[in-house]
Amino acid sequence: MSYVLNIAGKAPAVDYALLTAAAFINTSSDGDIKLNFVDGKTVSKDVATSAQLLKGDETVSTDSIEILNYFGTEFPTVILAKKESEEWIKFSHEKLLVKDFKKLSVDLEKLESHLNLRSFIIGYKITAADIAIWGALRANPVMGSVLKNSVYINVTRWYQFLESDKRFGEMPTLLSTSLAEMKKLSKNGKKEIHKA
Amino acid sequence: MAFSKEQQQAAVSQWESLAPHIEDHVKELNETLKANTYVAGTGVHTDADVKVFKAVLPLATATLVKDVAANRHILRWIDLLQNTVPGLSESKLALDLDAALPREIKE
Repeated sequence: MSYVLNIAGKAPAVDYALLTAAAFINTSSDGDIKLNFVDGKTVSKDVATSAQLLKGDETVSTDSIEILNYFGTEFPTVILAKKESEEWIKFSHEKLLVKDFKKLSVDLEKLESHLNLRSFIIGYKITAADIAIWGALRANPVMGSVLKNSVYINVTRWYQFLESDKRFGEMPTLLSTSLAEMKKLSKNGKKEIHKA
Repeated sequence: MAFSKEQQQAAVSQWESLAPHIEDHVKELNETLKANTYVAGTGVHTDADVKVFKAVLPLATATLVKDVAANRHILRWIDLLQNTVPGLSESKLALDLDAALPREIKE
């Protein structure tokens, strides 16, 4: 059964974590998740969230934490450490999307000290926790310059290491080029309608 | 840091040649591993990681662990390699991954 993942490309916090999770699943042997980008702040008029997962015609979930956990259950050899990742996934949504830097910095310091002697969030491989946290930091507009300036040295090393993996680094580009393509197509479409 | 393929190859050769005299390059190694998960800025470990690891491990066990804060990046990398590359060392360097260390500020 194949899946469709709807992603709101203009959401206040774009779901980069789910895009990356889908890339992990699709580059594995058992993956079949079709990505569908929506040029809007929400998935649709009826679905007021930033993401929606469909299996066939059925909605699996419209909650981004639930979808990532679902991937961890359905693809346990690809989206690793579902159980241990849960608290980190929660942390990424509740704490790392905050734009008030004074508040955000408290949690970035926690992450920084967690990565003092660790190369990954959990154990020695990329897990759902890395995917969730990377996605949240990528979506947070405050983080661009913070990461670039290595304000948090360990966080920057970890972030850039993951970014050099295409399944992380290429997803934001895929999203923006897809949105640009859609815009072009809809403009052309309008012109044709005009002509007719 | 995102190294190009050429830079990564150059870094591999550089660290391979520094490995026999690693005791003179501890600071440099720590600085490199501050910004890079592996010594040559690669996404996976290279021959340079293995060579430098073997060279630096006795020093790490004897001296570097006494100042975890100052050598944290080398120790982080040692822990990564000893848990992911089979047959690197007979006994593992013991590290408390949750040790409270002062936060580093970029110079």
